[in-house]
Amino acid sequence: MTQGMTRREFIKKGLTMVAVGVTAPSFITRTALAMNNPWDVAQVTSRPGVPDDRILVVVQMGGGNDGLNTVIPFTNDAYYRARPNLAVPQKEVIRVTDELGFHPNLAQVKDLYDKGAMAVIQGVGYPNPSRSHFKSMEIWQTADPEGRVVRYGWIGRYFDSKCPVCEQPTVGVNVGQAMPLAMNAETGMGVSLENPETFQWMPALNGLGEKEEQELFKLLNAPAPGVDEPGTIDFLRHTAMNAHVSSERVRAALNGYRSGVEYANTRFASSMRLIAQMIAGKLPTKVYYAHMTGFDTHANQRGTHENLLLQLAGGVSTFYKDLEAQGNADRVVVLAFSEFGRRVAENGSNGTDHGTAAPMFVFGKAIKGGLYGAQPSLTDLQDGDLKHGIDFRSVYATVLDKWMGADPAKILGHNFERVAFI
Amino acid sequence: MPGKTKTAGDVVDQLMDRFVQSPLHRRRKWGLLRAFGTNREDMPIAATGANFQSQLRSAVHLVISMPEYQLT
Repeated sequence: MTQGMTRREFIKKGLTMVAVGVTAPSFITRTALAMNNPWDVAQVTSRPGVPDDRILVVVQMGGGNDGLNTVIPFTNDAYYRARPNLAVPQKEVIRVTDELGFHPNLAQVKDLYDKGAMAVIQGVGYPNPSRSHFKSMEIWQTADPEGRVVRYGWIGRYFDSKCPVCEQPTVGVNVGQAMPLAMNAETGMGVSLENPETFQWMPALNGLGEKEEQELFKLLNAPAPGVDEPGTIDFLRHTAMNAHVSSERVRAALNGYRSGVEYANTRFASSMRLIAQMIAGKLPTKVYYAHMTGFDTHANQRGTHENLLLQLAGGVSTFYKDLEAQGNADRVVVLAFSEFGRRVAENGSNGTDHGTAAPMFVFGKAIKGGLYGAQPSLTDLQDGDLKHGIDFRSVYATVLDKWMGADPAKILGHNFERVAFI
Repeated sequence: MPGKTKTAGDVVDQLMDRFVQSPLHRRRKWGLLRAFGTNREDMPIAATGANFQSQLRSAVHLVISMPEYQLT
């Protein structure tokens, strides 16, 4: 007779511990709950009127996107004077207003804009901007320009706020190699994966076989009743069990849906397809995180930046179509940001150097599309850089408050003004 | 494995001595015994057995995935 604890027994015993209030390491109860019905637990701070099944997808445009060549002030002579080689010709710009337009490679998201499913928030930045990629990305990811709470990210602090499904190991899913600081939480929730095929227990080569080893892995990492293990071992076992639960759940979600929409053959589009699959598969996830890189266009910017904008527009618009086909478009908001914009003037290498303020983009069926904030002046500059008009934490506060149903003041440390895009 | 390892329990003890160097809870030791197809520590085992190589590979793989090994 086996003495091991099967998954079913583990769930049952874990839930029993919750029910009778037995003192147990918290991860046991969390993992047991997570293995039960994920959307039925931890309704701690649900706010009336804010559905619990809303999802945020964050797109990080790493490297510093050139906002001026993305949302283009095509009637402004100062733009053309500052960029004799890089400025987008007026006739090529996709007009949004009489003064502003999108880069021609953003045609696919212009369709979303016209439907009211895209908001452009102009001139976003923060006081005393850093031109270091590392520092500025850290500031955006922690929402903390003063560096007070640098250990945890703004999304991680949301996870720590005991939001609905925040106890789930898959509450945050990063599609990439390493978990971004933005999702770093005190409770350690969230998973990172790049390839779902490798996001699972890998058995030994020429060993007993995958199924048998998986069972033994679970047995070895299940909590031993009555054993008070040191905190570090407890933490690692917790992490291993979370990874295992997440792996099973992610692969089950992915296997349950095949998109009928064709994505482009780019890394970013693949990430968005994976996220769409996980959403369709009802993974209990509040925040997904996707990455684009290569926006650091110091030299020969034209082709590189154009290609990146095409990838962004293609990935987001196809993702939106996929969500519409699923019937999930009104549950998802996409927030795209970069750690800084570029300087107004082009440099001597047909590129642009690190700057400050830039536009952010928000996509979703449930948002109020349009332009928000003012286009920064191209003549009233600060050391050759654009002055920001909207603090990026106001955008975060809007998303946290209006979309996620959380209290932004608790997460961001200050009650930032909201922007009206939701 | 050295000649003194005659049982599944001996093999698990050897693995723990080599990789973890700390006592193992009985339940987890039992989990590793299962890799050798037994619940008993005194189960005779032979390094020349038909399945021994694959069992040993899996057992080592499992040991190095344990928190106890990662903290050693």
